[in-house]
Amino acid sequence: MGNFDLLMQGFGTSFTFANVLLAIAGGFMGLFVGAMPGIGAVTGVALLLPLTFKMDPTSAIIMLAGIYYGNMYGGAYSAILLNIPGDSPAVMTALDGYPMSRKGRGGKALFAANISSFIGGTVGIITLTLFGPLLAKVGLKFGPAEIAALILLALTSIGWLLGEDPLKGIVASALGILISTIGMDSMAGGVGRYTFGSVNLLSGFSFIPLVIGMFGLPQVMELMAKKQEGESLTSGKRLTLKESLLDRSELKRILPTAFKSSILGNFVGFLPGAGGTTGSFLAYVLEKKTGKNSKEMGSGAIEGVAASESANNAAAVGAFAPLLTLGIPGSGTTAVLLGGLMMWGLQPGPLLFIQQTDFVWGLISSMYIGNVACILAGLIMIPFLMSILKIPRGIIAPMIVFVCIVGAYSVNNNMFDVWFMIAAGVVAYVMQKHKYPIAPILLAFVLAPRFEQAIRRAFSISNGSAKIFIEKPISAALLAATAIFIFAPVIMKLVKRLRTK
Amino acid sequence: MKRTLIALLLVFIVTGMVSAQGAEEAAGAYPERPVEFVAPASAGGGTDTFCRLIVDIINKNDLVDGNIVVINKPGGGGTVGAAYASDTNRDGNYTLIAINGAQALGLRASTEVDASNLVPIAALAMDNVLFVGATGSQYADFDDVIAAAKSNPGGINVGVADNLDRLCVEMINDSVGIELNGVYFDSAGEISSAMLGGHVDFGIMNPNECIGQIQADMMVPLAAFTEKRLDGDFASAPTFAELGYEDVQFQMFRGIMGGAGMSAETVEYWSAVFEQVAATDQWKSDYINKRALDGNYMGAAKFGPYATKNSEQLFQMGKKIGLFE
Amino acid sequence: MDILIVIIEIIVALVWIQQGIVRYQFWNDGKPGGGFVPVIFASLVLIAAVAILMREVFSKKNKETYTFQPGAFVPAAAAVLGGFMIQVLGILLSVFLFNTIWMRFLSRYSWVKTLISSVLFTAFIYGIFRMWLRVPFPSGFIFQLF
Repeated sequence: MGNFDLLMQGFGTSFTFANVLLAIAGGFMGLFVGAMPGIGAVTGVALLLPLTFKMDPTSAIIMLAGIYYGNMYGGAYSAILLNIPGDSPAVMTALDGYPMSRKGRGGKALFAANISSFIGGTVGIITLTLFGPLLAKVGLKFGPAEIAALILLALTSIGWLLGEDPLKGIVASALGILISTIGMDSMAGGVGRYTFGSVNLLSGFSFIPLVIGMFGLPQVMELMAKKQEGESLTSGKRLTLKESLLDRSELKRILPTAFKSSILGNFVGFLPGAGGTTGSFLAYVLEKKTGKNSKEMGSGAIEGVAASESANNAAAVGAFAPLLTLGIPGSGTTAVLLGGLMMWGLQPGPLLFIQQTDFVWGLISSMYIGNVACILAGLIMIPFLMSILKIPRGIIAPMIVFVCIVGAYSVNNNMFDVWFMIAAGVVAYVMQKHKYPIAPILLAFVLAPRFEQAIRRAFSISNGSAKIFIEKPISAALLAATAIFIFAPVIMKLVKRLRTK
Repeated sequence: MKRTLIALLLVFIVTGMVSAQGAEEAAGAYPERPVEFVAPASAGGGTDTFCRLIVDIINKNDLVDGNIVVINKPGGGGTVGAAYASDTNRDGNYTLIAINGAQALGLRASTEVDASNLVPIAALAMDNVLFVGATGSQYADFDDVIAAAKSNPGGINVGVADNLDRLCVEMINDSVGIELNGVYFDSAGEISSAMLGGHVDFGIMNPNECIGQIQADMMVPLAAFTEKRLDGDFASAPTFAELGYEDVQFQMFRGIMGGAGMSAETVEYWSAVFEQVAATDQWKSDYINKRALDGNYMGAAKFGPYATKNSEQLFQMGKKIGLFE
Repeated sequence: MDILIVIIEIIVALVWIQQGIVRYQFWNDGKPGGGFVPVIFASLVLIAAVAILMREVFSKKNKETYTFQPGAFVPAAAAVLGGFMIQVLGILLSVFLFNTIWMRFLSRYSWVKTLISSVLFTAFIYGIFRMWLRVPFPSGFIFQLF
């Protein structure tokens, strides 16, 4: 039987009225939880997983697919509305989404995020259906050396990409890496590094308090710095639903971007240990380098939102391939799902595809349903979300501050994270005022631990020989690309100078 | 008039909230308040599953007349959660924490955290350890491993996920007289992908971490660190004793401890509860059998000295090979 | 202020390099040690920071553009206060009082508007984070006294 027939059979089991309702309910819950800062997709799914234990596996997985997708969609909402990315890939969404909000185009940003997420999810599932097992095997070719080279490529582009002052961009991204080295050194038998004797630093800083502090708090500080009362977040511009719908030219702008980014993000998702953030970041870079509106990106370009959201959703689906075909979770959320599979009495692993065809194709078909359910749920929610933008500052400011506190606390249930969040906020505010870009700190913070582990693992495998990076074709190619990335602008400048002479 | 109304309203709301907050800590027989069950790991991992399954069984069988809340305190290989649970400002009687052999070793080795005031309650299971290779590689059995390691000292890579796994590799090296190279990974899942992609040669894993791949004939268990051969899918793996290396044997405990200063009665109360948990069918089928653990229950009297001795031995071993200072 | 930030960056970089080489080791046992990545990137911070410093010192164009706005630090101070409130009063009372005080005395809304929005916001936070997602907030230092 071909995959298509199996998929149709899967729809047969999953497409019932009750299941569709469950998918939509899951979508709403996921959207809500995903939009709450501090509750990422992993925690969201883990917290809502017990709800599903009493259902039969197919219904349960359908609801979870809804929750999972909802989470991914929802992460963008708080990034666009409040400049507080709900999860790490949404950092890239905030870069353009929040400026759009401030310019009174928040509604358009929300719609663009929803549509791009839908495209990313759809491209991801179709690829998963057609080439899942194949791509999972290709993904295995990416060992430590290849992953290190891939992330190095991403890391080198950060400093150049963002901000007006390249030197300050480099300092910001390198500082992000230094912050990430605080905590347990997982590569050397768990010795603490740069903890200065503090137990709280032993686990390192968590991403969510850092991002809430560096993105969320400074923007309230900015609001309070000026003394104008009664004004709303959008500086008094009127927002109507009708004006927020995307017109044809805007759709034309986001569609090619979304497709391009989906494919790239999806592929990164298949790689073990690369992660959705790497995916959405690389897609953003690609758009910035090749897109038509690259100059506008970073100050409210709709393409930026589209690139980031579609890549991150496509990557999230890609992470399912290693789980289903090899029994290896490709991301934190799929690791939680793995636990769920066991609770339902299913043995996750390569045999799942052969022995439990009903379940697997039920799951894949439910991802289609979940994706559609989420775009519906999202479209219903957008008008309500837009009303947040109309709330006057004097009312919304205390609420944002308190949500920041609660969000930072909820990550590890630890007050330490709250104090850290506030400190990060003050530091970020001051740095921002002195023209240091903040996003590179966060991106480097996310990517650096993966990079460090991969590069040290590669050296550990090769017994300290750097040849491992050159001998392997994939990593050699990626390193060459990195070199081009670094030296191309320099060479271009030289050529230009020679020509003008 | 308006002012008094508002003042009244304020007082009304505030008292309402105070009583609501108070109601969260309602009174009665022990446990009077919700008991915090600390999982010193993130949601979804092995320790988390262990905790949540136990709470599920307790609730289903009404073993405790009160509420138990699982709290994830991930970080530092268990030390962060342990630091939280062993805080003397907390009420030890309302704090439980899951501790396994790897986390106990991490605590013994830690210079930052002193969690010696945690009170051992019970061990519920012993997890087994396997030496696993990929199917279709050049290594069909453990003798091939030895031969390869002898011809290429330090060049054969074994994926490990923590210090305990690393010690298992050192145990083999010590006893067999070879030099396998331990490469650290974050989790068994990462070891699996690296092994299947041919980036490392072998991996140290718990049975439940590789059962799916073994059933699908993608991985082979080459040797077991157990006393007797395991059943079922793992039966093909000889024990190290069978291979002639008697001292290569190891099991990791999964136990529960109480917060600092938990009273003797409370310890007794909980060890009775956990003994009942360990006797349920759900525990035996969903946890022990499905994940190929050994289900020997250990009460507080046995578990305390065992845990101390176990982590001390491992710590000294690690010290000898330079893993710890 | 610009120069002060650069100096802090240089100090951080130096601490990271020193600790990375002395304590965690750059290269150890034929492999990169715990200090490998930190030392490389701390050196990068050092080089870039020194370059910025040189530029600041030698160029006359770059005048400080930032003016200190005390109002900006109100939210940060309030957040610190809010954190303490949670530890002392528990989550429920803290949300309510935090929001009420801010709205009434900082934003100067009427009591009626303030109370309505505070009650709604409290219900929102408590309902989602405490009841639904079961986040274990500190139960309030005061309540433990009784």
